[in-house]
Amino acid sequence: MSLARSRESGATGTGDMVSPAASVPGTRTWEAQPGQTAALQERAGSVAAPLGWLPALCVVGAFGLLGVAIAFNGSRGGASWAEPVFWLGLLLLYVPIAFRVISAAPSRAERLGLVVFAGLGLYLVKIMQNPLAFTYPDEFVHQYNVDQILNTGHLFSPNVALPVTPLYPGLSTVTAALASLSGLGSFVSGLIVIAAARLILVLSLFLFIERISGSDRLGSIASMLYMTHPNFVFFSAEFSYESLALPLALAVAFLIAERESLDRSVARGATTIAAIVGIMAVIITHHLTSYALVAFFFGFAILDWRLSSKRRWAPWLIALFALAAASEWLFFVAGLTFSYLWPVAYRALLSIGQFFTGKGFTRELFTSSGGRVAPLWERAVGIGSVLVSAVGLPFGLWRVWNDQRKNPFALFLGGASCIYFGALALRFFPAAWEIANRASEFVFVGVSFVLALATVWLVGTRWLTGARQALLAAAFALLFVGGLVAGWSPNARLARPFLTEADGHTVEPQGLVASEWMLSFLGPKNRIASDPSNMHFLLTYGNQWPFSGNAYGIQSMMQATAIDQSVVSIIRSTGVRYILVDKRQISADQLVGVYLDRPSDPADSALLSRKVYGKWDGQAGVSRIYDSGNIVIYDVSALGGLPPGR
Amino acid sequence: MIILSIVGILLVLVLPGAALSAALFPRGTLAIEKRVVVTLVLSIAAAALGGLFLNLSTLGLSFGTWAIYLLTVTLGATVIAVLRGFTGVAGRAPGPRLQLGLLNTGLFGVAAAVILIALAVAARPAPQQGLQGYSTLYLLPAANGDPNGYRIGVTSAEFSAVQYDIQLKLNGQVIYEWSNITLTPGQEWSSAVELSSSQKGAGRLEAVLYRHDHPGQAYRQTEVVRTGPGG
Repeated sequence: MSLARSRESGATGTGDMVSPAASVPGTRTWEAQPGQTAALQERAGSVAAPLGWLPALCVVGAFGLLGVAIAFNGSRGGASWAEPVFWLGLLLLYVPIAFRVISAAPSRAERLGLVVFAGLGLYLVKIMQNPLAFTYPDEFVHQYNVDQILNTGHLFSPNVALPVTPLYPGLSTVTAALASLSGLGSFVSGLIVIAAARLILVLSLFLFIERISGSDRLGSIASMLYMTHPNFVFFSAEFSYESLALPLALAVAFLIAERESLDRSVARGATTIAAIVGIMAVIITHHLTSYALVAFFFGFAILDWRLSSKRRWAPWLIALFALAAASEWLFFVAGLTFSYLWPVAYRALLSIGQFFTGKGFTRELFTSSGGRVAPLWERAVGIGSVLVSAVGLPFGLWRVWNDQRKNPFALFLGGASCIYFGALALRFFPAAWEIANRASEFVFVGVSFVLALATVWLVGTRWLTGARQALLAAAFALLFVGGLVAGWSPNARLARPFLTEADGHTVEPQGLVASEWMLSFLGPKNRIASDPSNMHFLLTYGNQWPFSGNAYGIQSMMQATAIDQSVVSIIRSTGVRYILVDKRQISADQLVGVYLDRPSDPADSALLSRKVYGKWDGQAGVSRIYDSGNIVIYDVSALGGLPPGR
Repeated sequence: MIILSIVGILLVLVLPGAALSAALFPRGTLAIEKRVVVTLVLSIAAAALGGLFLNLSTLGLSFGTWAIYLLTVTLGATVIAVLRGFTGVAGRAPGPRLQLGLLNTGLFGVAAAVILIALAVAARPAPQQGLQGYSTLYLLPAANGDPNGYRIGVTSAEFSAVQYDIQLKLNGQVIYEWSNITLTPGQEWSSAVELSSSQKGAGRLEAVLYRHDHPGQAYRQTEVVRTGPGG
């Protein structure tokens, strides 16, 4: 920490830290000396903090958001100009702030303000894409969990769409509490909870990097770099349990780092208590995040044990506590997690193994599951962003080794950054892509730290020229756009029409209307088979028991061209009473199938084969009880040997 | 409603954590940005962990139990904070003072206004252009369990008023007919049907919806399989 801070002497803000005094025996050389931080802050408190460019950049960023809003409005109407305006708006929000934080000039207050504005501004992008309802697949699932708590007054109500989610009730509990006490409903309450989580994330990341490196400049640069990871704008902003757990985990990491910098005092004890409470909140909120947090604690404990002159037990105790708590939750409450996570890992290993034995194949990059190939500029930007980070990584790792190798946090993050590039290779394997995607959110903290070190080293500190600063800001922009291109399906990036108005009446997607009709006329909790898109409407708006996908053979049944014995046996084994058929091919894509379709768009209007969607018509014992054009609901209770429905 | 919303947000996301952080970290020991993090984390943790305890109790999770629990946490932590001298400790929280000034305030105000405009623009419903309305038709057995009774209904989600005709057929023969039903967007029509004694037999009961602007072309179709006189 001392070496990194001495190179930051070009910083001018009164909020910046100064080089530490000579090392005090019994303390680690990388940490702030006892009492130093308090003295610095006391001195700083007598001076007004300049806001620098913060107000002006907030105005610029706000216009960037307005551009994104206009683009989304246009894309809902099918405007061809929407995509370039979307990118321009995003870059107007991100790039000026990145340009500014690279410089050594901003004060700590300005950096903090810029990072918070950027983080929350990018969250607003996701809200503006879908301002009226949750539309991502996982959002439906978690909204259902919230509604079940509100309706039943209890936790752990089963969720057939994603059975493991009610067993991690952190997000749904907090959201239900907010919805109950504020009267705002599960949708708005969910937006507010994730907004709070986003604020925790950007603040914690900044403070964590600042604490371990001694540099608010590094904290701000690393925070802006973290926003370039592929999931930051959309996936990490969705109403899902990981979107809350990861910020909480980062906050815990910051508290642990903060704790390490305090002498034996009441403040250290208070920080420990706050961290422990945070650990418990993470454990009951998301499985993978809690395991990543345990790995972080053990990694820190091992490195601290090796690097400290004095053997300390406190990091081990915290790690063991986290491990015990996570294990207890896993074994006594959420045992279903095994059956949820293991198949994903198994398929990934199988995919990799098959490739190396010549039986498998790799995934084609930049080609969606629907066969859409990304345009040339997206491929160039995507590859370019990986190359930029690959070039920067060795420089950053060299700085870690040169300046920070006594710092266990820095070493841990350096190791995490290396894992990220290993995980990138997993994207070549079809079944391992998801693991790579999910892992990136955790290990990218390390990537951000290492690349931030590289950034500061590359441009020097005191005499940064405008040209180098601009070049680096352009590199950040490339990382940002490349990340977004790689991380989110192109046909789901721009806003789609979720509802329109006619004569003062709201016209909603047919699947939503059909689901509400089912609840009104057929009651709740009917077993119904459907496609992936409408399954979410049936779950959340219809309060039904939907089946979809490969589980139980539902997908093969829905895609069959005739009613044969295999179809009948699937109906009987699952006990489904109803079948919802959506004639549109797009209904198989749960990211975009939930929206109103545009008949003039071939991708939207393409229908399934008549043999597929029409196979139920005229079948003995099958009633066709609902027809809205694209969607038809069949009563197949007779086929399944069940009593007739209502 | 707005006041309730604000109170609810404060009670869940701010007050418990603020009180807990005040109890843990006396005044002047935590910079404002760190206190914000600790406040939010402890508030969320208090709600999440508290939900587990409320779930175990017979009272469950409701408006009343949430309010009592969170207020109890807030007040209890506040008492501890006061006893630890949070209000009395001299000195302000560490960190430089923020001086906004008129220009900066104005710029922040402009930014806030533009963001609000952006949200309003984004929240506008999609234009009708390029989209298509639809109508729904349903046919169900009567809700009261009458084996010879049925419910039929039409809802319009079209973009303008549409005129419909409906035919109810039993084994291909028209047994009921409704003509010139005009529905504006969002409007519903429904009817109860009782089969006569001569119509009570096995077969298929079919409802067909026609639009006046497309005569002769079935717009929507539903049918229910009848297994016999009893249904």
